[in-house]
Amino acid sequence: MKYSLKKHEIIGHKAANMSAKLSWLTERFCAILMVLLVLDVWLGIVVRYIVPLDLTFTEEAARYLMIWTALLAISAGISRRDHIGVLLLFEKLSPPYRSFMLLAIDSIVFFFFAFLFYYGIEFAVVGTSRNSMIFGMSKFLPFLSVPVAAGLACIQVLLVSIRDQTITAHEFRKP
Amino acid sequence: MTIVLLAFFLLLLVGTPIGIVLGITGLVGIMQLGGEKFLAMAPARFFAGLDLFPFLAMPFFILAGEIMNKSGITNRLVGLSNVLVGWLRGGMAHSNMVASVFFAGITGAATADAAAFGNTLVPAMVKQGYSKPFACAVTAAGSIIGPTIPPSTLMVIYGSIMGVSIAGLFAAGIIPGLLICFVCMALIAIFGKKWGLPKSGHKPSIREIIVAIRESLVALVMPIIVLGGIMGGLTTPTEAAAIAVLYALVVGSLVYRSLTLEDLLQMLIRTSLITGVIFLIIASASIVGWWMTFEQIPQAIANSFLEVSDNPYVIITMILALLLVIGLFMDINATLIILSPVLGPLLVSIGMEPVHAGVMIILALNISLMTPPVGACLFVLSSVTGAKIEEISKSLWPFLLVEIAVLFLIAYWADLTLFLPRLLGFS
Repeated sequence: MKYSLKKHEIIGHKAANMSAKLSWLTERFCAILMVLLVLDVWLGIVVRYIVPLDLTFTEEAARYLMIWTALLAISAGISRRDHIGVLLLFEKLSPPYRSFMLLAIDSIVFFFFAFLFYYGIEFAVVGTSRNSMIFGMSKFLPFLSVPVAAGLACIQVLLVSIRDQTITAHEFRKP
Repeated sequence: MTIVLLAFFLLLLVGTPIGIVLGITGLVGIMQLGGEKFLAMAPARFFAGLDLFPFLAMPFFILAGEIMNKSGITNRLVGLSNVLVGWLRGGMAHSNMVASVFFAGITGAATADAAAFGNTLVPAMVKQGYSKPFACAVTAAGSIIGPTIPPSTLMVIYGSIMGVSIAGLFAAGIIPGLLICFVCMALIAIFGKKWGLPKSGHKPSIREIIVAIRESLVALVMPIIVLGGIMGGLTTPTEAAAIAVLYALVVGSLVYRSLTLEDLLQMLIRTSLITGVIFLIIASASIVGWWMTFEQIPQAIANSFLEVSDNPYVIITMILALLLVIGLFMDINATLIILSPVLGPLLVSIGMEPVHAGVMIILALNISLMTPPVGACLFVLSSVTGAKIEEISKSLWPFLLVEIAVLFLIAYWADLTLFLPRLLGFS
């Protein structure tokens, strides 16, 4: 007998697929940023101890690279459900209640990142009129990490929520 | 205030990720303060919470630890430990403890220690006749040495947010870490005699010890480079961590030749993900922290402690009890970020040195990593070995008690913790 997927399962698989692809891209981008971060700090060490050059950007660049890497990685963590909470009560719930609770938690997470995205745009715009202390660059790019990461996190929360409400088995549904 | 606390506990109880619990709690608090006008400040607080150069040491130490672990360093360190103490009764359990000390010098995270030894030492101990829960309990007890002995990510966080010398904290963590190892080994010796635990090998000759040291020398050099650089005042913790990454890469790719590009990519991704999880907590805690400061909550908590007693020993006891109880339910990073600005200054105000206060708080929180119901090391060991958390917990409590005893000893006897920082000029 040929098994055909129900409509909500098809949507679930599509969401899972999109979440995995987005996470794959984000993770690799984070890995590239992490390499740049390591190279930047090594460069800072070289110019401080070995070849004295007037390169002042390394410390600020390192901080901003670190923030971009960590904030973008939040969305990849959402895709893998890496951001853990206290699950004592959650694990005691029966599967239907657990699904409902998971949906509620995902909604809360979505709300938080949607808030950060909305106000983060304003924050990034404020950055255009501010310059960094040492290098003097506009703070728009560093500040932009907040709305971009929050926006990505919103998309991931939506996708994993659809995935876990439709195709993930009840016993594996965890926040 | 009531609504904020209600929001915090409700969100925590239903299982919301800790970072989000803190973020939403902060937003509720800010809303109560001044409505939408203040809400717009939240992204700025979120960003500012991460904008600290010393934080960079954290992902670097995680990455260096990942690379060293992948290079097969764990097995070499276990081998060395086994040669040194495996001949004692309960040899494998002793080796587990000593290996934890060596491993602590490479990675600053307890869960990394628990995962590495849960995969390698626990099965080996079970094969030798140890019960699985006892093997897991020994591993959990030893795992908290990781973030106590430097490098320690918790010390990086504490030093960064409290403006306390990270090098000083690193120096101060060494004796407490060794002390934990020592008391746990004493406990294992008692169990060994009582239960007739097996020995693991013969008493080694000098030659065997030299051979084992030579085989793990590359791993043993890393903490010397890192700590020597920091404590000698040559490098900052961030620079030392970056040098540790370089060293680990050279060891993994040129000395042990066990690293591939795919491995490296996966390690970079894993490091980013771990950093993302921790940094979400730190950034969100910064929003709550801002609200707490605005509401003068740290002062209120400090005053409530001082109203009970002005005796330093009583205050220290209350603080330790508070940390141990909160640690039962809360994530260690979140607790550290939220409570340090409250408890650190209070401890300093009763005459404690900032470095001593930091190490005491960190050690108390480290102990909570192995306490049920949410001890991270217990979860890791349970998932890696298949042992139930309740079973591990039953075997764990004697270790828990002696480690709490060490905590109180460290707290009351300042000279013990401050001996090395003073010797090196950090206190």
